[in-house]
Amino acid sequence: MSDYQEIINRYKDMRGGIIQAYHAVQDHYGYIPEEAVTAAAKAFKMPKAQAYGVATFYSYFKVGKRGRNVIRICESAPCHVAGADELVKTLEKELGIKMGETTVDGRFTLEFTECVGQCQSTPVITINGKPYANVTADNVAAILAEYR
Amino acid sequence: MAQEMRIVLRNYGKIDPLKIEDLGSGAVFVLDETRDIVDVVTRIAKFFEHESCGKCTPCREGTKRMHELMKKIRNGLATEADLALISSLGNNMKKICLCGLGQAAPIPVLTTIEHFKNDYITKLPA
Ligand code: SF4
Ligand code: FES
Repeated sequence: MSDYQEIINRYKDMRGGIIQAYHAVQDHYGYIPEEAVTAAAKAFKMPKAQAYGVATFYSYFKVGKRGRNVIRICESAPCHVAGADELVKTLEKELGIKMGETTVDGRFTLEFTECVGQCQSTPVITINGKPYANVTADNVAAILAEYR
Repeated sequence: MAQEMRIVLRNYGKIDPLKIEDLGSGAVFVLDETRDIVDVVTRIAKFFEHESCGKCTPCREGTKRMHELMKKIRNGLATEADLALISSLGNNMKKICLCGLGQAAPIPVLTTIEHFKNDYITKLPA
């Protein structure tokens, strides 16, 4: 049995358990494999469209492969005025990918996020959920080095 | 040029916890006159488009159209008619969106058009 099938089975008798199942699948893979959505639809007895709808509604779920380290750039208003656009350019250049893409070595993925509640020291990025504040073109390379 | 915008700071500490939905986020966002208010509001409109859950049409469609119109204004492509349209859209959303998110979504647009009208007018093509 595939890993995701085993994970989904753990939640299949729980009411509304599909969300917990997706969380657990994502914890395991770092994302939700396409086939896991089909498996979830079956396990929770709903049309695939509905299972796909749940998986794609929440920005924290990602259907389809992504890198081991997920970098999310906050683009809400306070980070926006603090220069999030510049940070996007810097990170795209540093990693050689565009927003939404994954590096060829599978190490980094670039995504946007809305406010993560650290507006006291903008601009902010998160890497695998850990926030980094006051990120600038000058210190971003040092932050990335922790994950290279 | 910016004129003024009045902010009422409530004592959030004294709000009945059962009425937490009245609270809003309690955020105060201070910008000086070097900031482009129309650009900031365009970004806020994008936020609401993203956050709309899609259950009701005035919010699902309204936040999307509002963001489109704000981009048009910011990019210097809008007309007076677009300003009237976005105001009327916003006033409708305030009344007919199903929940607080959709009802609050047009407020940054409407209040800045009211208090910083000139910043919008200067974006219209000459
Ligand atoms: S107003 Fe509320 S219920 Fe309607 S789409 Fe927006 S978030 Fe959903
Ligand atoms: S706006 Fe970026 S952390 Fe709040």
